[in-house]
Amino acid sequence: MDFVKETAPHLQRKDNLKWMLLNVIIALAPVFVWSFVVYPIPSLQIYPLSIATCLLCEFLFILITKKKASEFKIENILSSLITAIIYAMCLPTDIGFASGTGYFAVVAGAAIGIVLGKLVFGGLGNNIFNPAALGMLVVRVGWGGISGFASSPFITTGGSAIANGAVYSNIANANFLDLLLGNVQGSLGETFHIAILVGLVYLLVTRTIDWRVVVSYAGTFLVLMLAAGIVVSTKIALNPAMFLAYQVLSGGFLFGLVYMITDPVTSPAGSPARFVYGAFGAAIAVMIRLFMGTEGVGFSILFANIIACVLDYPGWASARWKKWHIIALPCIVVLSLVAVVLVLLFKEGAIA
Amino acid sequence: MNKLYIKAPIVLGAICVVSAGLLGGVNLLAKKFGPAPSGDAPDTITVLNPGASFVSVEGFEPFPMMGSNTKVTIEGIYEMSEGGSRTGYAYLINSGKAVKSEIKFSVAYQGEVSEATVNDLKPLAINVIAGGDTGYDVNIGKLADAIVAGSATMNDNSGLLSGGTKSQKWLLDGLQVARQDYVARWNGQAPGPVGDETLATIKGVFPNAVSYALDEDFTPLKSKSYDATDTQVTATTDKRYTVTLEDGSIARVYEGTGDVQVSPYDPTLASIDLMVGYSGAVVEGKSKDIQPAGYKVISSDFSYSQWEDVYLAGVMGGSIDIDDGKAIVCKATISSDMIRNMMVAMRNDYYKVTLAAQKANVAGYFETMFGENYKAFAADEGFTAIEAPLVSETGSYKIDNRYAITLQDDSTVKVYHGSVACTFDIDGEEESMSAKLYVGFKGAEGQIAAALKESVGGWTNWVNSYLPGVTDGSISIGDENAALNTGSTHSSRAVRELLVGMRTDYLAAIAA
Amino acid sequence: MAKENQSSKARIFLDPILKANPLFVMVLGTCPALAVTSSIESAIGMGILFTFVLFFSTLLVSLLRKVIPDEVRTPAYIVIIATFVTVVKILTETFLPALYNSLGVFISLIVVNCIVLGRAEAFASKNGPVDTMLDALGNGLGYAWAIIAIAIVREIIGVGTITIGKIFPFFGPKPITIPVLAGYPGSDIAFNIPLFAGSAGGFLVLGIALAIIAAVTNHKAAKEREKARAAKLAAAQAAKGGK
Repeated sequence: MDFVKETAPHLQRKDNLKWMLLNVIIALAPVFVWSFVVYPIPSLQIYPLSIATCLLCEFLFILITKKKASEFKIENILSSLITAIIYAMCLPTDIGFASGTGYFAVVAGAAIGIVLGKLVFGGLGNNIFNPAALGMLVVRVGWGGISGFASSPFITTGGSAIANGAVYSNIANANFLDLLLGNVQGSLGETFHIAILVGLVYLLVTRTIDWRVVVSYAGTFLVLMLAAGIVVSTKIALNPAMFLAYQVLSGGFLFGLVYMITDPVTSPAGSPARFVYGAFGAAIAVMIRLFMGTEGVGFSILFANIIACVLDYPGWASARWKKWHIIALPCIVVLSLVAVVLVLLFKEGAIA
Repeated sequence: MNKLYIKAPIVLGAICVVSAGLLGGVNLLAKKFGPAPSGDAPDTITVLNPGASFVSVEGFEPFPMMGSNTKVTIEGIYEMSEGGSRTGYAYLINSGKAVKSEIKFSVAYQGEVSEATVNDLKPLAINVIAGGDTGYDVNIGKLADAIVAGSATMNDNSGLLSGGTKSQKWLLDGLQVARQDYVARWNGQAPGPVGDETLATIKGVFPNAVSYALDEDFTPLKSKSYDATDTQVTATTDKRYTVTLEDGSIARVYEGTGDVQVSPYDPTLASIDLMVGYSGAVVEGKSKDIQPAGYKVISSDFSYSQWEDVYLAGVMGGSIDIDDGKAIVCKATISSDMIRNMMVAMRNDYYKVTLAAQKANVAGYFETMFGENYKAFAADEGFTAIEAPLVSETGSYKIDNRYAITLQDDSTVKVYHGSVACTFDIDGEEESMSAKLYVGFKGAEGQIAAALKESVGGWTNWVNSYLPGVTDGSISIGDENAALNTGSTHSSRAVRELLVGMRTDYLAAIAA
Repeated sequence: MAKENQSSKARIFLDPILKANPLFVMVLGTCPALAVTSSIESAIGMGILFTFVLFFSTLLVSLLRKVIPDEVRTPAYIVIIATFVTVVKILTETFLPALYNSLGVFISLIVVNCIVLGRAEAFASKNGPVDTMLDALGNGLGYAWAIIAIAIVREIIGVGTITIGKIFPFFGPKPITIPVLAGYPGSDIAFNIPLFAGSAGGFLVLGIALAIIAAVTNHKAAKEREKARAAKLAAAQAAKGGK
């Protein structure tokens, strides 16, 4: 019998890695088109740079490790394309191209993201971290000052308008239609939520992504934000539902939910593990958003990627761990995170 | 006894003793051979002009001076001479902590200069010793080089390089302070520490201030604003000075400080220490009309200057309203917001304390009622107090005094001081109200010119509904039913009777 | 015997520099490696101070190794190390204040640098003074070149310029800034990646360095195994053929 080592994503259907990647690209298409329409010039500046960098890095990697250029298969092209597009969509549109540093920032972020996030771990299927999120992190930490990542009181951290302490009272004035349709300043791809939702539906229907991650991430996020909304509404006159709607529709929440955290390579393989993964990520995102007032979805994805390794630990399957252990342990972890969030919420002065 | 118990302590003890001896010896050595604080100027000074000789000026003690952004400490002044004659002076400056570490540098100025030509003088050499933060160091050095080369000016912020502007501004402050001292020192004066720093700063707010006193009973005000991570931060106004101006009038100066994080990615706090001055009378109910008279920045390290150049300038000029929360400017929003909230707190305190002072004497009431218009008052001697029971309500009113007020346009208003009290029944509960009012009547018909409540008690809804209406004329006191719509029918009726009583007397008085 | 002695002495000195490098192979003393490597001169300074402390404290430990009872060796070593660290601190503060300001608390932290206590414990307490001196110099040099290497990478990529002369004024009173990726006078070009100048960058560079070394070591080991296997195969073939 031939044993062939398979790398993630572990799919049931044969020969469908290509189709899966294609499906993701199709799901990205509406957002992609939208970003071109609304921000033509930044799109023309950012997309080609990031796509070219990612493809080049992947190609060089294949050359170095497999030593044959013919090994640069369509899957590699598609997956680097996806990484490049998602990374570009996370970047703010006013990344300061005036001085030329912006171009360098985009390229450096893309290169470091894909090299350190994917290639050094072994390339397609072997990565721990979401390379697009890592690239976004590099740009944000290194060049955060030159772009619109943060400056106006209506806060465009992480790219798109996000609610935070000073402005909770402004939520009542926020135009939800604008937020839904993406008429606000923000990142290249995070704002047009209708397109993102269309992508979500498509991905779920074609079973490219796992509903468990979506449900647990979204569910935990909604529950925690609703609790936060209730706490905020006791302090200022604000409808918790409005608060919740604002939190969902602003920032990178929907975008991260649909395209980034659901990436089958970086999610844990086991089905129950995926629930924990999503819940954990959402709790971190909520904590960063509420208590640090800045966009937390990108960071939460990277955090969740780290614990995906723990969740996939094969030792959980050994005889030492009874079934109830395996169910109880993640429940404890997630519940304690949730409890921390709630306690901090109710602490005086935690949120304005 | 176990041999270990003897050996171990002895060995450890011996090691410790030897260590101590070694450390003591090294310490002595260091003191002896370290950089000698003898009359020679340190390397950091001599490097400015190798070949010249530097001698510390006599009796020098480090002293601080206020720059535009921060307090600068002059740590050393050396007279520079070449060939035996004086050519200039060199300064060792510590501009204070801009970001994470103190900015220290030495600068040499040489040549003739006078008050008129001071802005043309640029330094001979600048040697940056320490300062800024990693990565920002480069820009302080670059800026210093540019200033010496002449490609950037030290007179304003136009030459600042992007990246580390805070530290660069601190550098400029130090250079300017040193140059200020140089101008004086070159021309024979030897300026030392500024006599009374506080007075000097207050003079920056009110140039004609003569003396000041710290208000001991002032409770610090707290004002809240938000920082870049949307955490609430509190700024404190902790000092209030009562300042006497040249013309004898009293003004008040508040000093407020605050620290705030202006960037979500940099946890370093930027701080502000600001003095704002208010002067003049206040009109009751018109606290929002109070405009600040002046301000002086004691220290600030906000990186963008729009909070001062645009926001404060607009507030001073009258074009920006500090009660407008949306008027805070982009690019320096967080800082402007902190300033705004601080100034609102200061202004409200000024209103409160000045109003109380004004009310403390009767003339104060009239000042409060008429504000700028008020000129003089005289009590009407012939007036006898009027007392009468209320007709529509249970209670009585009393009119105790009548004054004749002269306004700036020489018109007269008669102001009555009266009180009214009544009890009434609401839903089975007995309620009561009482009020002491000053009401002014003018004109042939007995129009109400102004009304001022000295004190009110019990049911007070009428204060906000009935009283303004009769004051501005929209409600006629002759109308018996007008009180019904005010939500405080009984009290309004009682007040109406008082006012009618006053007006009756007024009409009689002017007819006489 | 003499040759063996010599080669073993050479071994003692050379091993820590490459094969058993305290930072890259034993992964000791990583905290200063992350903190002082944002500038090349700080790293050079730290390397010098560290070697100084290591040399004298291990020498003293080695000289006293028969005197200090086993049970109290740790406190004794710590006192000795702390003494020399304090000496170094006083001397640095007096004669090289720029270095003192730049290294700050990390001079004091040399006391808890695992390498110092580790070498004292593992080597100096068991070997004579001459060997100990060689070992200390080797480890000091190995650590120094390791952190200087990291500092070079971090300063060039992270800040973009190389600044010399700030702490060690060898080239005159003014520090020279050599622009590499950024900081060219009169232009705004900046190809440095600020991530590497911060603490995250320190971790990244150290990680990448360790990864490279691991890769090289594994590659070498794999090659060795290949060779051995091939040799075994050839021997088996030869034996078969011979039969």
